[in-house]
Amino acid sequence: MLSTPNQYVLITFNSSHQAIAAEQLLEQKNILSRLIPLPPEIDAGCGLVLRAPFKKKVIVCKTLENAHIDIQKIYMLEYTAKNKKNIHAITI
Amino acid sequence: MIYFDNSATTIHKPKKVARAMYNAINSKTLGNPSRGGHRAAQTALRELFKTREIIAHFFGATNPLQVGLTQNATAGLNAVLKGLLKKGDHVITSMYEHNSVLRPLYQILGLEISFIPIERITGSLAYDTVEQLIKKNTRAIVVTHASNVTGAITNLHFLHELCLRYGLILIIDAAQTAGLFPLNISEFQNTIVCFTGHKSLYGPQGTGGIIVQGDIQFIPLLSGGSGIHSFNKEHPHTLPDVFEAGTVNVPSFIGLRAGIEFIQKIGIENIRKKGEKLRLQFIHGLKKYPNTKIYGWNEHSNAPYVPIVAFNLQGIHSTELAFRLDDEFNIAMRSGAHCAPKTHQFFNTEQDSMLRASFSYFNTTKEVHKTLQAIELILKN
Repeated sequence: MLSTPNQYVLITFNSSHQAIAAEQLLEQKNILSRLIPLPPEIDAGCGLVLRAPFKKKVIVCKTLENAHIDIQKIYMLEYTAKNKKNIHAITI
Repeated sequence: MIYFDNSATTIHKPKKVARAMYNAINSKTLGNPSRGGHRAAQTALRELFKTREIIAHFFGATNPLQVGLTQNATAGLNAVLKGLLKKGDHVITSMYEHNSVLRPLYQILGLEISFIPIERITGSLAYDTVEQLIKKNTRAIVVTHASNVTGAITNLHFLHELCLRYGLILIIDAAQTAGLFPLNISEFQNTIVCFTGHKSLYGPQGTGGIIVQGDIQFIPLLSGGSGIHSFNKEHPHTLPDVFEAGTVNVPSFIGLRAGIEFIQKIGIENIRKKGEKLRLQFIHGLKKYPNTKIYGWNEHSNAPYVPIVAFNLQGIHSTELAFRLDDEFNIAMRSGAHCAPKTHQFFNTEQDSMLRASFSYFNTTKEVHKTLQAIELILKN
């Protein structure tokens, strides 16, 4: 399936500090990403998740793994018609 | 003022430290790090990450997340010691320890403690006694990197080799050495370094940290807000969150970063050489008085030192000399006990105490000269 600008990979971490470390690392590698608040579809509570274009999911995960940044879970975020969100866990 | 109490805290900071802190507060961009996902919260989190990066680099750690931020070395040591050690464990520490190590150890009920003695001739720790102190239940060696009383630097590599051989954790109190003497944690395994920011790293008071090298698990000493897993009843055990309950002092840690940048610019070796020059100049000046006692140092001492001289002069009590230096010459030195009770017991200075001069990069040979002249005048009158 080809990804569109409305499709993202979401990565959760055990710590917001790991999320920042991930963001900084991807920035150094010129991989566009940003941190967003933890969506309620994933978990209630607080925290940050890393959002990157879905088509970059493999390189994002590999980059984080190589840097020993622990990934908690990986999700696909898709915006459907009328800006509705669809989030589900995936594996790489 | 001539300020020679830099082992307590440095008061002459690089100008950029204050500027960095002012700009941090005045920027109106720094929220509560890790609390909420908005830009201000993320900006603060990024600023802390930059501080972790520079601390990690400074101490040779590869991963900034190995660095926990605390309010000082005491807070770090409490978190580490109470987060690791429990009833029935045995720990080895030294006669040179500060109360920041001793009191947390005494607080752990049922903990067995052994002390590495001090060699009377050289003032170094008696390293040849350490191995025989190790027991079946020994978990760690906790040691200062340099005595806050004598300045004698500990041979960490010797202790680390023992730790490796016996599967112990090495816990280093780097309060007196961080910024003055190199410490590369990549040369150590299963090791923890606790440091303070307000002494020779030239940061503001209220900053310090913990660097963890190895897979070491801690029980959090403090629990509270972490910005993650809010519905979990337990504080996270992950690094660095395990050490950081509640809001971290972001502007001060930005100031600490500026202090470390200053050290990196000057070079720690240049800082060390300058301190050593002042230390030897002061010792040389004191030795002209008969029966001068310099604690933990003599011509036989072959270990390196941080720029500290603890001494007593015949005919005047250290407290009196400190008062007159301050009152008549505006020279600040520390008298009394130095929060290191075992060290005072060893040198038999529980009653007489001792005077301590400690130098920073911003002190000068002229200041040392003036101080020696002031001491001469006081002794004459």
